[in-house]
Amino acid sequence: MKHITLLLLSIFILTQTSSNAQEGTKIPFDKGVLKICSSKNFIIKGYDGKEVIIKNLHKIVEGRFLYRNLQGATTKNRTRKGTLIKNVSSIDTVRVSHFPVSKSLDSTYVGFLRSAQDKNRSKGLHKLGKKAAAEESGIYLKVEQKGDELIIKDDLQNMFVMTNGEKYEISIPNSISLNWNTSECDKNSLLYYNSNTSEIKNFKGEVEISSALNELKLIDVSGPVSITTIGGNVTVEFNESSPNELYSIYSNNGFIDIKLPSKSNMSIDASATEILSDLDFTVVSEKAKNGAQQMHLKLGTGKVKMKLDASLGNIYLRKQ
Amino acid sequence: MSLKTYIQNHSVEIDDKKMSSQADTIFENRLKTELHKPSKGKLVYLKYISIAACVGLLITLSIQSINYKQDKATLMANLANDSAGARLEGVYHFDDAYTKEDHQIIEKLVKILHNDTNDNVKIATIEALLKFPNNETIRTNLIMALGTETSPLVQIKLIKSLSFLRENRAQKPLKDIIENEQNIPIVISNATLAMNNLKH
Repeated sequence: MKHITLLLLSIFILTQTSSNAQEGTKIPFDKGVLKICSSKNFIIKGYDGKEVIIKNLHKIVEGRFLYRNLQGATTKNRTRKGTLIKNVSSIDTVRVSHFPVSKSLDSTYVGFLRSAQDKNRSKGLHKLGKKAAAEESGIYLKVEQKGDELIIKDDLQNMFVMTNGEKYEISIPNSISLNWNTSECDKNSLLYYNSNTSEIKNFKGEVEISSALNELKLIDVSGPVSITTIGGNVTVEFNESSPNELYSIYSNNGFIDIKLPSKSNMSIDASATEILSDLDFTVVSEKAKNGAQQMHLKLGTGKVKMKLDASLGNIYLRKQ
Repeated sequence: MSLKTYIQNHSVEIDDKKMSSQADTIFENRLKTELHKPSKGKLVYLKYISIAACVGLLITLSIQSINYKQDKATLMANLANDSAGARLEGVYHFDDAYTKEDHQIIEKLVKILHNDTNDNVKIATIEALLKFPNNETIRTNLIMALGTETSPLVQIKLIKSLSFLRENRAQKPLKDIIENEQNIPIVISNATLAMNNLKH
């Protein structure tokens, strides 16, 4: 027997793409915190409205790759972290994922692809029920409301969706706060990774992001903003607005790239391997510690505070 | 005019008794106005100045303490705010503006260190607490936090801070971190580095 007794019952089904433009799933929510527990690829847009609207921007894959936890299929020499890399279809490459395996879990994950049913038979008909509607619209997310929190999660229950290139557009009211955790909001969960850059645009509420490796881009987000990322790069652009609220970004080895109007009033506490800029900053203080630069920079009146710590990465501060 | 005629003309004025009584009152008046009164006035003046100075001092002191109290009240309110941005604002303000240890604020920051939901707030708090490296409460709480923290970036910050403080008691939690395979490689390598640093 092989060491890896991960049984793969894979049925490859061609992906069926549908390009019908959907209106998206609408959820009335204009007060409180929108919590996103997912490492998928998102374009989040702020707007003056009262609903959270989720649209899918990817091709809908009919026939999904599922993992099921088969009780009793015990093995002793199972690898600690089950890694499954497989192609679901000729179009979509499946991302490499480590799925969480707890030590107590004594069973084997089996992956298989659920087939799309006979297309001819279902022609002209559609699946009934809310869940089916969501699946049909290509939204593989679970939405829950708890008090003043709206939670968007990956649909992980009993299954692991392996479709790559999942991309969603979420329009959110400016009156709410956004709290996004890419590690599924579970501290014991392993790190999930998505190589596509996620964006947050024109949002006027508070933003909190905790990410592992996801690439982030914030465009005209008023703040306050707090971001921690281990290795993800963070790009911030102020194209049509000026910074007015606190920005706090900590990264272990990703870069932080910020584009500012030259007339901004900033007080920036920066610490990185290298700090580069083409703006006319006044260097208030400067320290070198363990090969890293630590600086306090001022622009204009210095009214708005920014705390940037890129640790082993660089900081780029550029003119708009 | 001869002296003789002058005396004759002013015989009454030069009368010994009359003159002496007049002179007495004049003298007394002069004495009052020129010696006692002015001296009294000066004293009163000084008194007013000193009272004014005292009041002024009190006012400035109380303004200062009111300012401090107000600033501290805003700071404490910020630290207890639901918004992570407001809490961060509070922690950064403490880090920038406070040079003295304040028991109440430090107690609050220690609570944040253990319980806050936002990693940025925790990291900023660790940085702020490092301003008082000789405070034993802070040191023991940083060690405790290292034993319980699970968020990688906060773990790294704690590891670096305790290594910077050359805190030997951190060796136990560091060892636990290195041996726990649930931790991600970056955290483990940082812990190993800190362990080496502490042992040498």
